[in-house]
Amino acid sequence: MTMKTVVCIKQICHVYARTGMDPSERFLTSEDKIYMVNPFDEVALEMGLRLKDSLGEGEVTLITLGPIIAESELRRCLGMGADHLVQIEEDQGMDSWRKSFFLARAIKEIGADLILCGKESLDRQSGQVGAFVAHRLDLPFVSAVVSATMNPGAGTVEAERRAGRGVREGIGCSLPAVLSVDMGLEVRLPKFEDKQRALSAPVERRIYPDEGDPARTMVRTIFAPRPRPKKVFTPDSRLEAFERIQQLLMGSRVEKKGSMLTGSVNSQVDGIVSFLKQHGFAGNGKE
Amino acid sequence: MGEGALPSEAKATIRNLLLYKDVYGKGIARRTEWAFNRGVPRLSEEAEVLLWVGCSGAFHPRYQEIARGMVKILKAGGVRFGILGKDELCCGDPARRLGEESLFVETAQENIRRIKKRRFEKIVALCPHCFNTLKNEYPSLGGSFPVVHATEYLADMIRLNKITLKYSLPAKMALHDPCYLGRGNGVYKPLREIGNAIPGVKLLELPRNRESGFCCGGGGGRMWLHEKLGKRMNLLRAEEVVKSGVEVLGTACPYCLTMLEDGIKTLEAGQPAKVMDLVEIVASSIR
Repeated sequence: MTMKTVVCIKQICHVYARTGMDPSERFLTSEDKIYMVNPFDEVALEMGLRLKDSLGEGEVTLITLGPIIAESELRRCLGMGADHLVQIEEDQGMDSWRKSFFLARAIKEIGADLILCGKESLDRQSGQVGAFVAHRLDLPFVSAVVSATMNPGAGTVEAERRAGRGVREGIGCSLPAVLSVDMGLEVRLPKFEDKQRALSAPVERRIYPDEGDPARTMVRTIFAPRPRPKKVFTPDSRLEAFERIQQLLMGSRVEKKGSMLTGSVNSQVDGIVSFLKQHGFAGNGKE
Repeated sequence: MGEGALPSEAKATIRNLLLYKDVYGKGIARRTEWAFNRGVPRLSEEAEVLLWVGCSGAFHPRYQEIARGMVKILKAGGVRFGILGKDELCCGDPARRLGEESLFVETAQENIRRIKKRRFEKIVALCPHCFNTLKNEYPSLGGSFPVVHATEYLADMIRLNKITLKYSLPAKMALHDPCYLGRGNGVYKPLREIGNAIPGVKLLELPRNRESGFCCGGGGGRMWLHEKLGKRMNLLRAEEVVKSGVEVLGTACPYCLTMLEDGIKTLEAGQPAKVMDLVEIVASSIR
């Protein structure tokens, strides 16, 4: 039996700069954003492909929800080694609970042994959809997974998850399961011929009637947030007028006093070590 | 690369090229930040010279100085020029050198389409890599433009007395021929002409020069790769420079500038040679 893996992949509009002049456009111009695939989901795809490679057989399906805005990036993901691309057509803005309804429905139809998704998306960063999908499908869920090994004979998967503060947890659970993947694996580049093949690969479109659970929260509008208010620096009132003006002119940066070490690398290192010892950061000066 | 096998340090470069259309990953929106409030004209329709700034000139903090210097010289010479600004993409050289052929063709065709919309007499490229790509590799994609490198154009300006070099640089200077300028396109003479035209400069030759010149270790995509075998190229060249006892090393390439500056700093010689771009030297001489 081939193992079926489904990877939920989100297309995002990544705003990397704010160079516009028009407040009504929220200081955004068309060059300030790029359409890309959520990097966490790319890592999830990479994990799915590595599991497929380790088993030697399998089928990886990509599911994306909503209109296709980053087609070239999706095709690159197909070129990395995914077999199918499924698009669920839905134009309305929605919350995580509603998204999980559509995804769970599609996954149920496809029938997956392993469902992978990114830990969170780069734009919303709610990190909820994976857990909601697991809840709707009544499957075990492991979050922030950094590596996983399959055990198809026993029908289990062993996942290593990031538990925060440098702690790793090893968790074993039965298949099928939902794993949300954290950053860590290095994403592969597609081969040339795979990329060419992916350019003409079909996109399977699915439309689901608007039924099922109503949204838990209503999405009224979706908009880019206002830029954060600029903090106005208040100069230290104890200083003289000249120094206060100078501080304001320096862009309210107050430089800390320090000394530059000069000379050869060895003497600079000696200087740093003696400074650390002197101030009690390292050693106790007795060694 | 066609196999998708690329060292992991270069993958980020390719991703940046793919998403942001430049090798530094800063994005199109930030491409004109070096020219902000400096009165650099955009080439909207017609001009004498199209100044091709390149990714390094637009984003690399050290090379931005050279781009501004070039603008100063062109203004002093009364040249009607313009830059493409946000319409300029990476020329595609890094993609092709790292083996990502399809990405090169994509960016190159987009560039050609945008250049063809403008009317100008010639393109002046700041970077030898852009120069080489625009001159030798774009014609096969249908974009034959008259292209010269900045040093060629400056040598012409000096010969025609369009600019006067007033301020002297009293130093012993040697020249490092960039590979893509010298060995690639046979441009050796303009560099020497500029060197001889600067008042106060005593021009020397390094033991390995012109056709038998040496690489800085940054060309051919090596700028974005780590050295894993043997001795570092830039250290070998920096040793030669330091041994020859010159005070200023003139070059004309962003990669040579970075690599040799790094190399000479790493050697920690008693009297390190200062690495300068010829454009920068001319700009400080007409001030």
